[in-house]
Amino acid sequence: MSIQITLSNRVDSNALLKLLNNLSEVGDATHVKIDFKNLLKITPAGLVLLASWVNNRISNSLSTKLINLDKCHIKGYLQRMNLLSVCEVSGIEENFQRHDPRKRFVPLREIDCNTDELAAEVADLIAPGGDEYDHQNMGLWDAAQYVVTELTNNVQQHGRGRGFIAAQTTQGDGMVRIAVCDDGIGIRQSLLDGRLDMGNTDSDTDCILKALSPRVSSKGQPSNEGVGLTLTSQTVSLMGGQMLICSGNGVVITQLNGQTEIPEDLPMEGIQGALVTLVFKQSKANDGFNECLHRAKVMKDLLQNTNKPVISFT
Amino acid sequence: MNHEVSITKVFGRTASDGNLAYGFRLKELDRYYSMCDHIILDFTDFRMANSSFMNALIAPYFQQDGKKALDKLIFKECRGTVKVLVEGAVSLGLIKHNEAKAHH
Repeated sequence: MSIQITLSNRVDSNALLKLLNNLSEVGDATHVKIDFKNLLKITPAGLVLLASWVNNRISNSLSTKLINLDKCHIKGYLQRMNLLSVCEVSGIEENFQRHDPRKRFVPLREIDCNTDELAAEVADLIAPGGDEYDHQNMGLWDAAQYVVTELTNNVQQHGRGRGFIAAQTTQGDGMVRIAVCDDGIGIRQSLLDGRLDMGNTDSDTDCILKALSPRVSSKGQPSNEGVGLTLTSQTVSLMGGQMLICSGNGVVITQLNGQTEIPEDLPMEGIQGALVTLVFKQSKANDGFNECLHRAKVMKDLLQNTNKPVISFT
Repeated sequence: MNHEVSITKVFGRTASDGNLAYGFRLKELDRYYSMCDHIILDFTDFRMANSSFMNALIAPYFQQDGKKALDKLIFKECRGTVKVLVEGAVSLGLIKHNEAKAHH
């Protein structure tokens, strides 16, 4: 069976669900064409989703062609962001000079190395100079380092698939967008492998909500307390942002106010692995990422706000 | 007797792998915890961690001994987010200690 997916002109936060639906409907079709002729804008979430999905199909020897790239108005951007090389598209020349991506974007790359080093590279690109204490980008650097290590460690330690990361900062709206996607076992299977008691609820959406709860980990104690995703989502909310998690056919969005929105399930089996994409305000991170993290811990009952023990800091 | 550990020398300037922290605590810290008056965790030049790492490194001592662990563990040169992460790990350990006490 052959299927053609025509990307809409904007694959941004509003259109991401449509792309997820389109990819889910493909199922195990043997031939797929993805048409890029209308595409004018794509966020890091769309890039990592396409990279992971296409590579998964390639590894399963399923024919997947990216078509009409020559008619695509942002072909150069797709090349700069490494989408074409990551998806093994060859024969298209780069008719532009690659500029310094710092403070602008983090090109697509595979999560195939030490996650501390990867996170530091991403944080350096998002918040140049923030590696140093008292630098004006320190809060943003900390925020990027924190969320990237939590998300990429999940890919390596839970997902057990092939993962990709990309990011972008935009000066117009002052936001930073970071997205990670893998084609591993997904959140539901990860929790089941960890023999977690899921009660009567075992849908993908319920499993995502469970993974967002504090002190739930498929690895179990004593090496993992299961707070990474919980604190990431809450801290992102406090930095004026939101987070979307998709795994299998479940989708959960955590909003600015900390509330969760649950869109309709994706069709069929949904996507393999997991997609996590988040957006937050650069200014809020720089104004005090550590205060947001502290508040997130209090809000999730992971930090006692009163009768604080006297810790021996020297 | 005191035992001092440079976190930067062991893990580098940043650390996020809870498995590594867990392994280090088991192999290197636990024996000193039982035999020393103080364990000084020196965070000089250490720039950043995440909750998974810090919880795996510290929280179990507080889960086991409650506030008594504060007499033994000393946190040196913690700054910024690292300080928040240490406070969070201590608090999580104490919460679990109190839960276990209430359960018994």
